[in-house]
Amino acid sequence: MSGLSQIVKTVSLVLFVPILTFGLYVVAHGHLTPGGGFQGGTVIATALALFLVAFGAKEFKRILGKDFLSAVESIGLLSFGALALLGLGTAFFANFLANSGGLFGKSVPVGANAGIFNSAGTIPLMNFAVGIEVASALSLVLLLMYLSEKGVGK
Amino acid sequence: MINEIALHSPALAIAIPLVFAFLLPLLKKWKKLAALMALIGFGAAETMAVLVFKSVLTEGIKVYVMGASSIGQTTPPFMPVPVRIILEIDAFSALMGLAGATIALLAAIYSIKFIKESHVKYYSLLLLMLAGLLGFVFTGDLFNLFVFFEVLSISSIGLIAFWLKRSEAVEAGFKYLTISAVASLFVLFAIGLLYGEHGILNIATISRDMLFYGFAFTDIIALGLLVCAFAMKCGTAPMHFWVPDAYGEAPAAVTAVLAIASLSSVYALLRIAFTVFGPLPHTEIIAYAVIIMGAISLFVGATMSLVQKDLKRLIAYAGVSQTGFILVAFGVGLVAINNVPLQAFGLRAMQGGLFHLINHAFYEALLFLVAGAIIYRAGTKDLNELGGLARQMPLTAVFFLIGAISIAGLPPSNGFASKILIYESIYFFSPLLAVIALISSVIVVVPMVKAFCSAFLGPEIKKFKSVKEVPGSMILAMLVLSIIVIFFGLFPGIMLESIVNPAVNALLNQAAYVGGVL
Amino acid sequence: MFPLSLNGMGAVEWNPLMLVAAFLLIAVIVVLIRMMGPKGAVFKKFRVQPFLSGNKASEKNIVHADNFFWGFTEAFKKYYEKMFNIHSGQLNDYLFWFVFSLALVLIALYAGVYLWA
Repeated sequence: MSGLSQIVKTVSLVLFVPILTFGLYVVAHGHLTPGGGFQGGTVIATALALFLVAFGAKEFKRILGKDFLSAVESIGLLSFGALALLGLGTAFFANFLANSGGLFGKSVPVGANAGIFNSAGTIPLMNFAVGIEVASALSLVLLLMYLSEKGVGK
Repeated sequence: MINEIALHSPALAIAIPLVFAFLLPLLKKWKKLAALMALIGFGAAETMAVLVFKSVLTEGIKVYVMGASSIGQTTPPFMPVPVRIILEIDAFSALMGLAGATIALLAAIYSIKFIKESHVKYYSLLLLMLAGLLGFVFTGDLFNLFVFFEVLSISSIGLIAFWLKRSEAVEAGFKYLTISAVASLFVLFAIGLLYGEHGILNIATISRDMLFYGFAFTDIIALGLLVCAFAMKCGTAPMHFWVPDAYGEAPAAVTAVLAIASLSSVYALLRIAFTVFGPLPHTEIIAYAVIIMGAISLFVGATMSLVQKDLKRLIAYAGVSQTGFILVAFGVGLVAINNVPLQAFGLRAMQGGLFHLINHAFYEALLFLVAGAIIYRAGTKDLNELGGLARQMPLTAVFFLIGAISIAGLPPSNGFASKILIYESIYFFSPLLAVIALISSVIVVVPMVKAFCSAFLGPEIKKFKSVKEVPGSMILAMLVLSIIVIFFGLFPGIMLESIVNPAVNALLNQAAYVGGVL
Repeated sequence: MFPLSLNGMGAVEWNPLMLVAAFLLIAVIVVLIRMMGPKGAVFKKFRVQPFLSGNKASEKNIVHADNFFWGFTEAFKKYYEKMFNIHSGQLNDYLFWFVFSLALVLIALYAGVYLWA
């Protein structure tokens, strides 16, 4: 259960950072480029899967426990629901931040542009919520499957 | 404040169970608090369903547009088509939502004592199931229909296989998983065909398109796929095989909710047949298919119920037979829409069918809860082992008797009131059909007598001498359900006037449904 | 108002309250008649013991659920044998019946829409 060899561990640690960064990039640019919360969350989960395979379940569980992952998953889902409920001033899911000038609140000019990161209101925030949810849920699933495959305790 | 809540009640009815379902895993450490929060969630969802129902009955079709700058803005500015997520609720969907929320609330109250394990996972899944059910009946567009269908199915699978240590439960869960995956795939395929043909997913817009331009070839295929997939999910013979497996193995309180979830598939079938495809001449073929499937379910369900020795499987088969009643009635209604001399009978058949749908939801839930009470105290549902329980559990016996009389359709129960409407109207359509329905209804009496005699009557059995009456929360849930059933039975006229007729009219009034959005 | 007639055969109304009232009336009469017997016959003494063919039923001597309505199941033996074969409990069969019904419905739709019309 101590994971794979030292070479694999080192290389996976080297790869871990770029994969995580790419995942965060996909989540954060969900409103501008292809991708979004789900896809980015999956990429983040693959980084965690790499860590799981290289270091073994014991090390993984020491850093990210099952209860912790489950709690993070709930928090992601709850923040998504809360963002939708915050729009209730007009309608459920209403985008109350768009064009407000504040956080993610810049107006988008008509016509072709390079894409303004600080726009689109609640959509990027919802992408983050979904990203958190998918990353934690998928790594939880992977951890449980890994454990059952190895036949290690519940 | 109250006005605000009433305004947003359709969205809140879906959002509240969802949010509470996600909240529960965070409260893992505080088990009592989690259970309390879950019950609050069920109560709030029920309140929202009541608010929706009330406002739909008084004000007509309720449209809720998510994310719009005002909730009635169905088409975005400068765009002629409704592309947003739209909830459209007419009297029929509001009625289904109310029935679903009520049964889920009662099932949750019942589960306080019934589920001895940790409640967190259980209530979380049950809340998700309720959210799926409410979204499924409230939605106004086809893709969300599919999404909520999946939410409903997947949370049901988790609940059917809740007792993971029983291998039968896992097997039943796997069967249900496969069946519902196949059904949802076919639904998705059909929705894809409709989207390719009409370029939009909104039910009202597709319906208007078909009224103006008629059917295309792909629409016909989509109709067949949708009807078959939903017929399988509501447990129609010859696709009912999963019903006894899933109903038999799920925890009893879940089974009660599963029954109304299956009936919501009947709702989707009718929505597709009546609203999306409308009373065009070709729908008659689908109507005949529905009638034939219904007649087979009637007979097969009743006869197979007779030979079961497992109490929950017995009730499940009897339920298949009752679903047959509903489908036959609505099939006749669908035929009669275009057939002027039959119209009065068609309307009567649909009234009967809808009344029976609501009755069926409640007495089936009651019967399953009683079966759960027997399992809770006696520890078995094998009718060969049970006996003499009426001595120790008199209240449960009375509740079972109420449910049994209703499902068998004996006067003065609500089952009789709805079945008489169905008999007399389908007799004018086809006497043979009425005969099949009558015979099946008579046969359903038999398994109920068998179940009552072998579980509650007879000499005292030593094994069950120490059995006691079930705890108060379980009694409460069964009591409320039996009061509803008795009330429906004693005042069928009031029910017919106040809830059934608006729902039937809503189902028939395609123009109003289209007009709600466009 | 819960209508019971369709074809203008007079306004018959289904009134369950009357039925319940009649039932209660009959029940009261039955109790009254039984009260004319020995004292305490109704509520206390002569609780009927379960019996079977004239013998007192006990745990060893009881009709199990399997034996209920034996005549019916025996008469329809062939039907039930066939039904048990169909209700095999195998997932493949479940899906076969779905595909089978789907095919029938689609053929009927195609025939009805394009071949008849």
